[in-house]
Amino acid sequence: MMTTTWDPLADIGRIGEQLDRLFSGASSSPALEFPAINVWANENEVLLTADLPGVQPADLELTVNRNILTLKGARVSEPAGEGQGLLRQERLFGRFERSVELPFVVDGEKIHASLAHGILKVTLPRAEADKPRRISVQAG
Amino acid sequence: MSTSLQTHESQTAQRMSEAPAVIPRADVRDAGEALEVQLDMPGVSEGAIEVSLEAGTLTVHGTRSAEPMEGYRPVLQEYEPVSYHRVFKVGSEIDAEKIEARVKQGVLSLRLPKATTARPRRIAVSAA
Repeated sequence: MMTTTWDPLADIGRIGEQLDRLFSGASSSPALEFPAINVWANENEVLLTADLPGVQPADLELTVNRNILTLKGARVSEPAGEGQGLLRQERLFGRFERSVELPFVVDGEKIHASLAHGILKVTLPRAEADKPRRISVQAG
Repeated sequence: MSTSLQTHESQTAQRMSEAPAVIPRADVRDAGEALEVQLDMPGVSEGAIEVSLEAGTLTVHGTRSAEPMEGYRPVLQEYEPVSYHRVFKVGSEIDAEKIEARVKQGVLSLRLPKATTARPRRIAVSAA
């Protein structure tokens, strides 16, 4: 008589593989870090926008070091968000931190940031020393 | 109970004529006298939101204004200007006339008062 032993751990492993397969098909849009960021640039400055719905300016901190901008902050749950009667909770709260590499070194003194309609907009001028220079070539 | 609130199966259906719609993340709370819904809709201002209640179905639609970036080249693009679209089944016991909606910092807050008949009632028990 042949007996097979049921190995629950092996089953869990198989389920894991199946889940991996299931989700690998949907990985065309990778899970993004919070917040989602768009960056544009021209020769003279970088423009950055980030989706930060419900974040207060006082809860947001920006730091720049050469060509790295760091966004740090917290999304605070409103007092009404606590308590009972919650039927569905999908929105995320808590602390976040994210650094982005900018295409060039920026002037930390001239950065302008504003927050409106839940979108952060940052203008970062290029550092003078980093700007490309045209070198005139003289006939020898 | 009418307070059960389900997301509609067809909510992924998009309005074909517009930019791709995303489903905004939502929190839903039963506050006793009303249902409270909060949706993350960054980039949307008051004038660009439509909220409607028809036959027990609450529809929220918002259009995000495009970011005009002429003279710049894209370096990193993690999101597109999109529209937001979401449908909730809220049942028939919402007082449609008294729905309140406000948007603040890209978060839409809705208050859907229950019709008087649907509110929880405390029944006093008296000694016989």
